[in-house]
Amino acid sequence: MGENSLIEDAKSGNKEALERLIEKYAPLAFNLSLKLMRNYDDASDAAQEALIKVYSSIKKFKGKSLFSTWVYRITYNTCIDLQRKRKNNIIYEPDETIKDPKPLPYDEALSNEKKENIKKAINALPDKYRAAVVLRDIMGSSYDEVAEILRCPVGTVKSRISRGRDMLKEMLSEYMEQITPN
Amino acid sequence: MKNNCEYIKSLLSEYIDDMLPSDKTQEVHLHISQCASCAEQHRLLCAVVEELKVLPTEPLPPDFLSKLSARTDTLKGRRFSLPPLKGFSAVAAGLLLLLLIRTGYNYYSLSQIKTAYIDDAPIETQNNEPLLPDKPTEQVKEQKNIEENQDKSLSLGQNGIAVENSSNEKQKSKPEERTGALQEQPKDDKIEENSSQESPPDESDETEVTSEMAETRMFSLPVENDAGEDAQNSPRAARANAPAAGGSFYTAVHDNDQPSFVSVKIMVDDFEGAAAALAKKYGVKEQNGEVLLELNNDDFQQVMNLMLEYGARVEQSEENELLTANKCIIISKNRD
Repeated sequence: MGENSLIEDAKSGNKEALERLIEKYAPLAFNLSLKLMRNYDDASDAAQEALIKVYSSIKKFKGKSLFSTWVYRITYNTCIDLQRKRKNNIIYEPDETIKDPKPLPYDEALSNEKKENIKKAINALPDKYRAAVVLRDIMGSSYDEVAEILRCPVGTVKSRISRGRDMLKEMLSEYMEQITPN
Repeated sequence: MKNNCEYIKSLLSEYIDDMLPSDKTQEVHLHISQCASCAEQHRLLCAVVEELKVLPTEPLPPDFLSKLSARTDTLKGRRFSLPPLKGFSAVAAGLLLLLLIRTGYNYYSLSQIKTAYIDDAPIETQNNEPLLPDKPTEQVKEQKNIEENQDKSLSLGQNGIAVENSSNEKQKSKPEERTGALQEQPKDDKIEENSSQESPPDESDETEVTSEMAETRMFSLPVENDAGEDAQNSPRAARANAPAAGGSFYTAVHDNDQPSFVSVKIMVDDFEGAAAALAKKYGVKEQNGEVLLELNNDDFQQVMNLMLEYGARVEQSEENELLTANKCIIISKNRD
């Protein structure tokens, strides 16, 4: 069964179709939450909340955007809410670490912890840049989709992605020079 | 060349995503073919983006789906029982309030009882722990204010219907008075505001009459679930004119003398208008499509009533933490 028919079935009250949809999008919601929340348990909580919202308001999905965009938007908003509840409202505040971005240590960069280094760099980004970069480069959303998820103009999305990537480039510069020789 | 390099670097991100118009794409292409520094920046940026794209997907926590399934099962069961109950409590609250107003009920007597059952339903969704840390000094001061105002309360309470007549004028003058106080104080101090100093004792209407009863108040909020499409689509005017359906906001007094606060998400039809009104009255700015406010009860009620004019639909958050002020997040109805 195609995704569109699955969505239509779910909207018309077919619980099995809805549960299959939820199951399909659970890893995406969790991975987005993980990149946005910085904390594994919080990410799990946020993804659960987001998917419950998807479950309970499936009829609100009008099909004007991709279903994945709708799920990402709910997940993103849920993450913002949860961060606020955790008294850790860092959505609009730059991280301390980003004020003086330093390249990660050379040895560490060369180790098999490549993935961890990149994660650390992503986590060091201020939230608004991180959200844009994660949605674009990790979740694979288009600029228009990112704009819809973040509810901001495409021009803002472009500048956030550009700025976020530049910060990552600065933080990972030594490492990137090693893994991408001329 | 350096200025040009800065300009080119600012375009690199869009360049690698093929988001530039053709003339700029040509310009960047030509430049990086001639400038080693910019070519290096381009290469590094591409490398970063490639690394992000191939980051492995994290598997779900082992119990994630089973927990989710348990929660959706609970949701299925709840769906058939909660909405009628909520609807019933809203109707009951409206009828009770109407009865009180029509009969000119002596509000002072109500204050003696110190219990009003108008608005318990939404608050019951919160935990039952005290919502504020103890503030003995504040309480003593507040109690003193109550005693000082008692005579005025008595005369006011004896004329319940007359009270209703002057409500509009009073409500119009109130926000301006409050705005100054709100803006002068730092954010953290908002919760410390002693509302008794700001609330003139002779204020009227059903909301303000209850402000005479005591300094500690709760608000009745029309709580709707996420799937409440019908309420969302109902005309704004119908909401504003239907107290039983949550068209107005009430205050009440409860047995414990602890101030209680709520955390609400207010979804409005006209977000820009609402944000502009809040900016004008409270000096708060919209950020990333939302306005965040932390308010004492007086200001909270003003904001709630103001937001009704912009087609507000309110969801109460189920926060487990102690709230030290009423938290409002105003967003566009279309955001979620």
